[in-house]
Amino acid sequence: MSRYFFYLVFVNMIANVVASVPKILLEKKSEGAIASMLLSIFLGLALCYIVARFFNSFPGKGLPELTQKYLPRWFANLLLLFIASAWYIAGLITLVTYTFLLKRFLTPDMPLVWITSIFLLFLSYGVLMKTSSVLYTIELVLLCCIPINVLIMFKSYVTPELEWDFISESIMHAYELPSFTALSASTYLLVGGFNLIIFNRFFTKKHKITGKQILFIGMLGIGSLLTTYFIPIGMNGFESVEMIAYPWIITADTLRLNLGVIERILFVFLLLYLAISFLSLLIHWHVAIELYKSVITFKRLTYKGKNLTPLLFIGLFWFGSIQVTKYLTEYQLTLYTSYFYNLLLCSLIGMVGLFWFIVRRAKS
Amino acid sequence: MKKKVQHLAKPFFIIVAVMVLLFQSGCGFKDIDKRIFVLSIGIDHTKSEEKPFRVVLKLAVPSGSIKQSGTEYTYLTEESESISTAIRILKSQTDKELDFGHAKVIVFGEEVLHHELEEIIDFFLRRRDIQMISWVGVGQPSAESVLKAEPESEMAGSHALFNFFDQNGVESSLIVTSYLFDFRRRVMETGIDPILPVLNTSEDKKRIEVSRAIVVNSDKKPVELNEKQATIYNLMGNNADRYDVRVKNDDLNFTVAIDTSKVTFDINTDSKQKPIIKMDIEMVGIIQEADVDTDSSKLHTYSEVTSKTVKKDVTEVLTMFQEEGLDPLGFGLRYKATRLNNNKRYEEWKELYPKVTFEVNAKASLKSTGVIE
Amino acid sequence: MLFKNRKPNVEEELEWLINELKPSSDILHKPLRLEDKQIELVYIKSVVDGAQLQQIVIKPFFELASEQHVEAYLKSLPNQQDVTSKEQVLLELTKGSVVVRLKDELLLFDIKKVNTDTVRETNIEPTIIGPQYALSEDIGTNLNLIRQRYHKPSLTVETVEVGKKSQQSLAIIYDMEYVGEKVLKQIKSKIESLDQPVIQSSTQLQRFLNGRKRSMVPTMMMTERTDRVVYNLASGKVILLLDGSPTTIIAPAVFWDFMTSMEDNYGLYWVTKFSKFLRYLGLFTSLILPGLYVAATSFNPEVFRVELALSIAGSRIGVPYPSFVEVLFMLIFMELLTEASIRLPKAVTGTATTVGGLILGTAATEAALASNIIIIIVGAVAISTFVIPINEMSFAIRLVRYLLLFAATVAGLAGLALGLIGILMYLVSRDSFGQPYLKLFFEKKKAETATRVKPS
Repeated sequence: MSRYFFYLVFVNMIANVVASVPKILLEKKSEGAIASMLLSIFLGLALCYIVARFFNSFPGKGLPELTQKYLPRWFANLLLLFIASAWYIAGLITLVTYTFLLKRFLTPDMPLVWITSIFLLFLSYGVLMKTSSVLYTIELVLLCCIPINVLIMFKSYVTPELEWDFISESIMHAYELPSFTALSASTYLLVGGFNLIIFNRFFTKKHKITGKQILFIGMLGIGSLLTTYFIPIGMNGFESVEMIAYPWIITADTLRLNLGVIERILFVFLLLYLAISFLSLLIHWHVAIELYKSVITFKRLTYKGKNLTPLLFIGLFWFGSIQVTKYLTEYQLTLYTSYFYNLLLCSLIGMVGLFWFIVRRAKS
Repeated sequence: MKKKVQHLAKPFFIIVAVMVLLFQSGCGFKDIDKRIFVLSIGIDHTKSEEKPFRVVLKLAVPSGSIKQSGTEYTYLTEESESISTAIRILKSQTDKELDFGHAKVIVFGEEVLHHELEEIIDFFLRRRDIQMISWVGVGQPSAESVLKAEPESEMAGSHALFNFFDQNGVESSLIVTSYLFDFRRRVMETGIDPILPVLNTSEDKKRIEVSRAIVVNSDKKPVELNEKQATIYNLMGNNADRYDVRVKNDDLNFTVAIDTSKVTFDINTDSKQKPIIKMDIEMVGIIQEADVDTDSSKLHTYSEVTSKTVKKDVTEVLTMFQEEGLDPLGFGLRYKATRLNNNKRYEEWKELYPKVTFEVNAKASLKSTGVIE
Repeated sequence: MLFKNRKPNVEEELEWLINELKPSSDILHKPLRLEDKQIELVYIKSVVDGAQLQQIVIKPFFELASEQHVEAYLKSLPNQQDVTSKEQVLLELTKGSVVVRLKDELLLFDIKKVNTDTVRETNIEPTIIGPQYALSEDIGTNLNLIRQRYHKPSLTVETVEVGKKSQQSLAIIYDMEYVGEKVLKQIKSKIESLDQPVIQSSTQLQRFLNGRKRSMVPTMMMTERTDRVVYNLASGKVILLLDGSPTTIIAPAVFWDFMTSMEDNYGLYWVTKFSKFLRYLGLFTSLILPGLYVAATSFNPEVFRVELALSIAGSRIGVPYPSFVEVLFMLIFMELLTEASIRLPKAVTGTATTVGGLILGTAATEAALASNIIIIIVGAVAISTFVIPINEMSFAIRLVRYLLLFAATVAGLAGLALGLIGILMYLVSRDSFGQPYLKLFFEKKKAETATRVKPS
C-alpha cells in the first residue's frame, strides 16, 4: 500500500485522542470498555483490510465513479449524498470539539464563533485543493507532529506519577461484556481507511497489501487505543475519571517537562492536536465536498470558466458549523457523538455489503 | 466596470485586514503588561460562618530591570463565602487582569482540611487556568503566613516556594511533594489517602521549613507525620532516592546515606483472618558519618545493622498508619487492583486492613565507607 | 549561402544594408583594394573588435597572393556565420558581425567586441568551498563556462531571440537525456508567447514567464553559480541563459531547491546535515518569532516559563503601543535597514547599519518605544532570514512573516499554528511547471520526480 494510505489511517487514529472517543470509553469503563476495545481491533482491522482490498482492485477510481457506473443513477446519488453528509458530520464533530477545547484552554476570551471562523477560513482553502495537494499537506504536517506526539506518549508512560495500580484496577473490569457504544467509538479509531472513497483517485497504481502492513496498522491501533484509555486512568484515578470533561487535556496537563522550553506539556499538546485535528477535518471535508460535487454541480454557476458550486457548499459548511457551534453544549456534543459513532459503524458495515455488490457487478 | 471591481479587491482586503487589527480589542488581545501574575494561592479558614474562606494571592510585580532590583511581590487578601467570589472581588481591586496561568503553588491553611476540602478542590479543578501540576501544601500556622514569608535566599525572579518543590531546586528526602492532580486523585479515589507537605514559617517570616507532612482522611482527623515519618513515607513511596539512616546500636553509631532504593509491596490474603502485607526494600548507599573508626572489611556487618534499623523504622510507621486507619501508600488500591472487580472490594479491604500484619524485608548494601575508612 | 546564384543582388543588398544603418555615425563601409584583389567590408565600428578585424581579415588580405587565396582563407575562418536573409544580416551587424563582400558573395563574420565577458567572482551566493567564479554578462562566455563543466554530448543548447525590440539572445540549455519533455515543451511555448518589447535581465524574464500575475513564492530559481547550473542540468532541469545577464534561470524549481546551498554537496556528511538543519531552523525562527512574541505576550503568557513572562512584562513597562504595533514598527525598520544597505554604495552601507541597527535599537528601548526583548527578536529574525541561501526565497519569507504576524495578532497561538498550516497548504498547492512545489520525497526520489522521465 502506498504510504499515503497509512497517513489517512494514522490521522484518524491520533486525531480521536482529543475527540470524544476517550470520553465515551471512560464512561463505559465498568460496562465493558476493555472487551469492546479488544473486539474493535479485530473489527476495525477487518474493515480496514476490506476497504483497502476493494479500492485496490479499482485503481484511480473513487466511490462516486464506481457507484454511478454499477448502480442505478438515482440510488447512487442518494447513497453518495448520505455518505457525504456522514463525512461532513464526522468533520463537524472534530471542529466543534476542538473549538470548545480552544475556547476552554487556549483562548478563553475569544468568542466561539470567532474561533470557528478562523478554523473555517483555513479549511475553506484546504478542502478545495487538489486531492494530491491534500495528501502532501497531510504528509508534511504529520511528519512534523509525529515526533512530538511520540515524545508526549513516551513521557506519559515513563512519568513516575503514572499510577499503575489504577490501570490494573481498571483491567479488573475486563471480564465485563462489551457495549456497543464503546465498540463503535473505539472502532472509529481504525476506520480512517474509508477515506479511500475519494482519495483512491490519487492511487492510480495497484499496490500489494501485505500481512505485515495490516499487522503494522493493527499494532499502532492497539497502541493508540491502550494509550487513549489507560493513560488518563493512570494519571487521574479510576473511580472518578469519567467526571473529567476532557480526559486527555487534563492528562496532558499532569505531565511536566522539567527542563523544556515550555514547561507545561498541555500547551504543546494543544498546538499539536490543533494541527492533527485540522488534518482530520481537512480529510473528512475534502471527501465530503468531493462527494457532494460528484452528485450536484450547477452548470450555470460559473464565473470566468470556473464552476462555483464547491464555493456554495463551502458556504453551507460555514453556516452549518457556526450554527451547530452556537447551539451545542458539551454534554450534548458527547451524547450526539456517541450516537453518530453507532450509526457510522452500522453504515460502514453496510458499505462493505455495497463493496461486495459492486465487485460482483464488475466481474459479470 | 467588472475589471475595476477586481482591481479594487486587493486593496479592499488589505484595508479590512488592517481594520480588523486595529479594532480587535475585545478578542482576547491583552498585553502582558496589562496582566499581573499570581504566583501562589493560599486559602485559610476563618472562624465565621458567613465568610468561611480567606483567599490570599501572591502576585509578582514586574520591574524594568530584574537583574538589579529583583521581582517585587505584592499580596491580595479577601474573605468571602466562596473562593470564586473572593477572587472576583480581588479582581476589582487590581488595575490589571489577574492571570492564574503561572500559579504553581497552592497552600491550604490547616483548618481547611477539616472543612470544605472537596469544595475547594472542585474550584481548582474547574478553573481552566490552574495548572494540574501546581504543588499543593499545608501552611502552618496559616496559609497566609507561608505565602507572605520571604526567605533571604529568595532571589530575583525565583519564587522560593517554587524551588522547594521543584526537584531542580532542593533535593531533600524530607520534602513530600504533591501535585494538584495527585492530590485530586487521592481525594477522589478509595483505597489511597492524600498526603500533603507541611510548610512551616517562623515568626519573623524569614524562613520556610518543609519537613513534615500531613495525611488527610475523609472520615477521620488529618494526621501529621513528623520528620522521620515523612522521610520513611518518601522512602516507601519511592519518592526520594536520597535517604539518611541513622543507625544507633550499642557500640556502633553511624549514618548511612542511601542513594538508590527500591520498595515493592505485595498483599497476601490467603487467609482471611491473617492477611499479610509483604514489603521488600532494597537500598544501596555509603557510610556518611560515624563516631568510630569504620572498617571496610566489615561493610557486610554494617549493612546488616542498617537493614535491621530500616526494618524497625518502617514497621513502626506502617503500624502507625494501620492504627490511625491511614493509607497514603495505597494498600487498598493495590488490593482492588489485583483482584477481579466485584463492586465491593473496598468494603472488603476496610474489614481486612485492621487485621493486617506487616512483613518487612529490608536489604541494605553499603558500597563504601566514604572517602576515609 | 543563399545569395550565391543571385549575383546582381549583391550590390543591391549591400546598398540596402548601408541605407538601413545610414544615419548612425559609426557605420563603416570600407572597400579594400590591392592589385587585382578586392573586397568590401561593412560593419558597425562600435561593436566590432577592431584589432581582431585587422588581425584576421585585413592583414591576411594584403599578405595573400591572389583573390583565390583570399577567398579560400576567409571561408576557412572559424567565426564565419551562415547568411539566411538580409534581415538576419542586418541583425547580426548590430550585434557585432562584419559583412565582407567577396566578388559576388556576402560573407558574414562574427568579430564582436564584448566588454562584458569578464568572469566575476560569486557575490550573490558565495560559498567557502567550491568554485569561486560565477558567470559573466556575455552569453558566449557563459556558454563556454557551462560547457566546460558539463561534458556530455547530450547537452543541448538552443538559441532564440526574446524581446520584440531588443532582440536579446536567450539560450535554452538542457540535457536531452534527462530533461522532462513536458516541462521543456511548456517552457518553450511560454517563451514563444512572450510579448515584451525589452527584456533586460533574467529576473525580468522570470517574471514574464511566471504565468500567475501575483505570486508570493518563486517558482523558478535564479543562480549565478555554474556548479548549481550543472547540478541542475544533471538532474534534468532546464536552464535559461539571457545575453547580458550574469544570472541564469533554472526551471522547474521546487521549495527544497531554494533551501539547498551548493556547499551541501561538498562538505562532510554530518557537517552539511548540521548546516542544513541550521538553515531550516533559521527559516522557522524568521517565520514564527514575531508572531510568537505577539501570541505569547498578548494571548497566552502562561505558555512559557514564569521567569520569561515576568521579564517580558518587565521590559514592556512603559511601552505605549500594543505588542503587535511594537513588533510591526521594529520589523519595518529592520526591513528598511536591509533595503537601504542593498541600495547604498558599499562604502556607506556600514554606516547605515551602525546608525540604524545600533543607535536606533538602543534609543528605541531607552525611549520605551520598544521592549528589550523585541530588539533581540528583531535581530534574531534578521539574522535568520539571511541564512536562507537563495535571495528570492528569503525575500518571499520576509513577506510571509507578516502574514503569520497577522494571524497571531488575530488569534494568538492558535492563529499562528493555523497560519503556518495555511502557508504550508499554499506552498503545497502551487506547482512549478507541473512539478508539485512542496512535497516530501523518500528514497525512491527518481520514481516520484516527473522530470526524470528517462532515467539513465
